[in-house]
Amino acid sequence: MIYMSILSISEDKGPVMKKVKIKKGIAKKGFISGLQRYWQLYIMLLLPIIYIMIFHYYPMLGLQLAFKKFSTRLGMWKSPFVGLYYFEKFFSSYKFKEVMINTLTLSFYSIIAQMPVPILLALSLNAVRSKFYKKTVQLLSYMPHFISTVVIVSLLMQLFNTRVGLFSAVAGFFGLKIPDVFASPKAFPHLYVWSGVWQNAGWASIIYFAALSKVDPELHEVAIIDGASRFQRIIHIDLPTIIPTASILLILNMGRVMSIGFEKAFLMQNSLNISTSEIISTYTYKIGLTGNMDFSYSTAIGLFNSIVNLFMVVVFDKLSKKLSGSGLF
Amino acid sequence: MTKSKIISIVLVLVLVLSLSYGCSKGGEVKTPEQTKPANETVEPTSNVEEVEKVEDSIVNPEGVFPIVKEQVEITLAVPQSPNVEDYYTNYYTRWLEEKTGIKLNFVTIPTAEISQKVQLMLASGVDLPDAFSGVGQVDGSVFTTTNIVRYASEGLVIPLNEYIDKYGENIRDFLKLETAGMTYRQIMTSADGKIYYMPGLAFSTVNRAASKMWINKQWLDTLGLEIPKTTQEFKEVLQAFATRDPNQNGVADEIPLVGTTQNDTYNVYDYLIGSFIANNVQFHRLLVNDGIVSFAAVTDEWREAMMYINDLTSNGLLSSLTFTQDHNSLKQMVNDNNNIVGAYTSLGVQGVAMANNPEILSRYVGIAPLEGPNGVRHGVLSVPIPSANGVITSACEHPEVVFRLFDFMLSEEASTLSRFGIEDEHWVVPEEGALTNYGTQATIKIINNIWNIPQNTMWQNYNPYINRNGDGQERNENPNDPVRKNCEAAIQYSRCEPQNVIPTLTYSPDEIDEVNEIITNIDEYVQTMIAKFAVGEMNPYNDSDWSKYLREFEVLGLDRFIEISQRAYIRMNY
Repeated sequence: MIYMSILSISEDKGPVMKKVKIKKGIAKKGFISGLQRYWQLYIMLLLPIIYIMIFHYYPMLGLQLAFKKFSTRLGMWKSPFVGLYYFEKFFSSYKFKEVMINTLTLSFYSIIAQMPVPILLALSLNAVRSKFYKKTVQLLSYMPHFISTVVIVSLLMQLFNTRVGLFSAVAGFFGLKIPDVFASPKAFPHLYVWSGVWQNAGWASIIYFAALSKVDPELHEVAIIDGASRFQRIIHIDLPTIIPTASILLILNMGRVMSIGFEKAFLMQNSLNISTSEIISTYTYKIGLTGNMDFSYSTAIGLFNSIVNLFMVVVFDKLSKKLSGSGLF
Repeated sequence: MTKSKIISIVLVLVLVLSLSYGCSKGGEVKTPEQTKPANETVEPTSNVEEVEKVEDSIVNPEGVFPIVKEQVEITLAVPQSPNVEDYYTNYYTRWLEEKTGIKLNFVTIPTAEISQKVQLMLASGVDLPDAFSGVGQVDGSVFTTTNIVRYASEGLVIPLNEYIDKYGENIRDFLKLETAGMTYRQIMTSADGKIYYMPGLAFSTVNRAASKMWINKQWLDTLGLEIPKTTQEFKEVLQAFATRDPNQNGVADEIPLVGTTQNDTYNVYDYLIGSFIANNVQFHRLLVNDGIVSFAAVTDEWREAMMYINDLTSNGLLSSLTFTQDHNSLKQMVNDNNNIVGAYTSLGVQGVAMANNPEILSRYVGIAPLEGPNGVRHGVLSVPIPSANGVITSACEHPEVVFRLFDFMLSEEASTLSRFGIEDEHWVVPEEGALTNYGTQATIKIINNIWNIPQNTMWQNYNPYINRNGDGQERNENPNDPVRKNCEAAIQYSRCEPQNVIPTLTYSPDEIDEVNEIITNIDEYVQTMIAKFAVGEMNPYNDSDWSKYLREFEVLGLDRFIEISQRAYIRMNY
């Protein structure tokens, strides 16, 4: 979804420019005459606006639950107001600090580790001449993306099992012993992040392939004439082309720092690695949703996460504009 | 002109009449499903007062059938099930209608996310059925003794005590029954002293022993060892397993003892702790002695158990993979062709060993709880708690009728039908002398199983029931039948059930608000620390490690938890 929207952002630049010009021309006559003239366009616009209103803005009314003690009978509007009670409850909870640190560690580590790999993959594959080889590697590299999290985690556990696992069998062949990585809290972030890289790098590289396909072949031809090596061409032609895409992806990923996937961490948890594997979403699941259904509490935590996410997006957008000149807004 | 005028007058009259009918029912909001059939069967609208007059006596007294004097329609919300073809044409439905004189209507609830669906129904208030049937069977967290008080205080569900006294011939007997030092009345009563639901419960000895230890009999025979009876003997046996190559392949590939923490019954350590102190896995490790509630995981006995487990792990007898691997890996080990696992725990032997492989099944035998150094010997007890299978809502016009229907469902005849089907078609009474898996006289023999398969004879127990035949089934003649093996093992555990555990406590909604997070954290902490003590990250022999472990409980709020639990215990018992 996100990839699609980025594509449309970069491709829409042309038409957007034209629209601005047209608007300037009619600005004097005002909005009404514009409406009359371009009513077909406005009708087309109506559908997405209705969609966004109904499915994105209307549900936001539910956020008020974070400040109310929800009662099923009274409903959302009439439930009594409790102010910041649920936020205080969350911030003062026993594990708040630990889960906060774990969440941020895991998500920043994932973002940093997951950024260069697809870029490298796209750049190197783009330089490959054989079409068959290129397509095959591409296909194979994004296949893991379609495996569900449950299966991935199960695979990891089987692979790393020190008795029946594949790695232990290979190590055993050379007379070595592998440690039980699932038992180590220190190993957990690495296991989590790098299995994620393995699963998603191929898929994430598709967007860079798309960006690379827009490189003007003349640039390469000129560079070849000038005597640039293949590596130099990658550095000076390909890389600059995909930097705006990379920075937008980074900003968007920053918007998800707090909402890091629940399933994978939850499935990979065990008593021995819990000190680094307990993240906000798994913890709230345990205290909020099992046993005692507390809609208000989970809404409050969700709202807190969203605010942090929004904050991160805005900060990194500003940063990116300063550094590379391209940003989201 | 005149023709259309007449038509319009008639239409207006119809409208006015239907409005007045709608208003006459005390302003209660009714669903179209409820009003439509009511229009057809209940007497004309004009004599509303008459209807109200006879309402007092619309239901026959206890023990008299049919339940109602004239036909009453009841709408039940039932879980959707692929195994119940059609609730309306179902044999059980028709049988109930014939016996009770009640006409049943149904609203089906999809079972996926049933708890949200039921909450929505309750929240909206308009689509409320007369009662929920079988919701607790699908998801026990929808109606608990704690949260149902909340629904009651919001006027959504009604208490049943008055009806139990007046009409509850079957449930009254049930409530008197005792299990693990508590009566079912105590277990089912909410913190405000009322009972809000009708139970669904199957008596079953085999499920009371949650963690059964299965040991490799083939290995014991090869090495000429006896079945271990004490923790010391057990350790020696495991040592022999580890060192004397019981699978005789010349390689030291044996894993003496292993489990997984993915599910409590497989985790091995809960079983081992039972040899030192009663281990209440079912309810947050709370114990009660002379009315005083205490917490097991902070005692010296617990520390001894940790030392024992630490010993086993540090000597390589209990595999440390127990604390990290998943259920699949455990299965893979136990079913390995090289026969590499010495012992494991589970609720039923087939939970790990392949059920369709008689060779592997015959390898493992269930052993009793081990006797600890201080003579303690307890299995992990899991007391069956009745699920909330019948809940009457405030939208119900004739709660006494629904109550009598639910109570009738609890009768032996109805409960047998709702689980096993029709006599002589699906089951027969076994002949004299036929034995159950427990060696007692069998009471039921299934000739045609309809449980858990698509059928149209019963509701798959999506109704209140008390299954008294859970232990009464005739046994399979094959000694390696997994169910038979499980039952035979369970007998040994039923002899040493702990007496001082609390199977459940009912907190008030306010109490649960306070205590819920504490409970979650304490449970998690205890599990984590067992693992750490086992693998040696914390040393149970080391006093400073132990006191560090104990200190953390203060931060977690253990004192407050015990205080509230003590209050709940007193409320339930005095």
